[in-house]
Amino acid sequence: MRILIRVTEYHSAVLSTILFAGTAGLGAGMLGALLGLGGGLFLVPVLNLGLGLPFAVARTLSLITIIGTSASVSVRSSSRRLINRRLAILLAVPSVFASLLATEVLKAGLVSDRAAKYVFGFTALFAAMIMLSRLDKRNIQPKSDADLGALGSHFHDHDTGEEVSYRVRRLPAAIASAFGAGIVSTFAGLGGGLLVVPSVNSWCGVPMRVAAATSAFLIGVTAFTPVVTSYRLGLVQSPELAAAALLGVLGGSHLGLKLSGRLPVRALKLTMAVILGGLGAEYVFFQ
Amino acid sequence: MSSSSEPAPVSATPELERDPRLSQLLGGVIRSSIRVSAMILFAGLVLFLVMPSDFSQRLLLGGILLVAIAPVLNVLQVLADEVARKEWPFVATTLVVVAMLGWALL
Repeated sequence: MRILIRVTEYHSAVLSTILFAGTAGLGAGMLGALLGLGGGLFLVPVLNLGLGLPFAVARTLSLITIIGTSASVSVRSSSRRLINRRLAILLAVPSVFASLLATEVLKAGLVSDRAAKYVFGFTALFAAMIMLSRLDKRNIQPKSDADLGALGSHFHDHDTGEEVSYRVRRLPAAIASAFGAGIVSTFAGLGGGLLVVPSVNSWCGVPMRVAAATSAFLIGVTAFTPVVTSYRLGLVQSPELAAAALLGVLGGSHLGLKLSGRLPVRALKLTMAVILGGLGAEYVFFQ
Repeated sequence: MSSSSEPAPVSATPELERDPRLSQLLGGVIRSSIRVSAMILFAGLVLFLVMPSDFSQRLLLGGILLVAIAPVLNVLQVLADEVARKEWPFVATTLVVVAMLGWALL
């Protein structure tokens, strides 16, 4: 009888941990689909502080779920129409290059967990400020025959119910943010969407929904390199937690995409700014 | 999300409204790999809870790896698109990304 109770206790503890990871993945997936973020800024603290996993392990599990979010969002027809794949590929060059560099730095043991947390916090605060400064600005114009450039395009905007177009401006700013995203992704276990979405939206004139969908595509490509390296370093520990979080992410991103067409852009930006500001302050001042 | 009165949605990628066959095939492979990996992960989790073993761990890792290759397939899909459209500058850019992803595997 005692053995049975112990087995039951063991299973209930494992089950509750798995359910916790799955629920966190669900939230991360929803955030990812709604805001073009990988959800890492939500999942890393949950796994690291909530479940007590080492930062490096939490970072790796987060990157795996980011790939899940990216893959899930990228294959859905509703978001596929919004992804500017040429822009995503162009930005993948600096982001993957940066993640390759950062991976080598991590392998050499040159960055501590504390430094990685600072990277996380300051990046989140910076992105929140950009978002708040551009709450009511839209980058779209009614569809016209005006030259949209090699990267600009048009799409159906649910907010206005019209065909709208946009032109990609200040490409070097987008490239710089993608490079930063590669660094942040590798060091802090984030997708890098928290850098790419605000900068591409605010500086480069890409509409929020297109920026979010394009970022969702990009973050998966960026996360691939550190995940491969982490796997080799044996950091894919607790595959059951990774699996639970991944399943949660896949379900959450599905839910998020269902909601994304119905939420106004202003609310999306405000939600993103509040989340980023709160988490940034937590990691910079209180960790 | 789209009502029948709305105009047909278009791609946000310039001139990419029509996917070539290879791109469609890769898109199908990516969608299938996501579905299959979700099933493998679920089965692995159930097995892990009922009877933890090396097999359940391997099943879970297999599901994770199947998800992990999705970004590479996404990039290959873009490559197929651009090759079909003979947009050589974008083909070259995509090849650079493919090369860097390949470098990570070495």
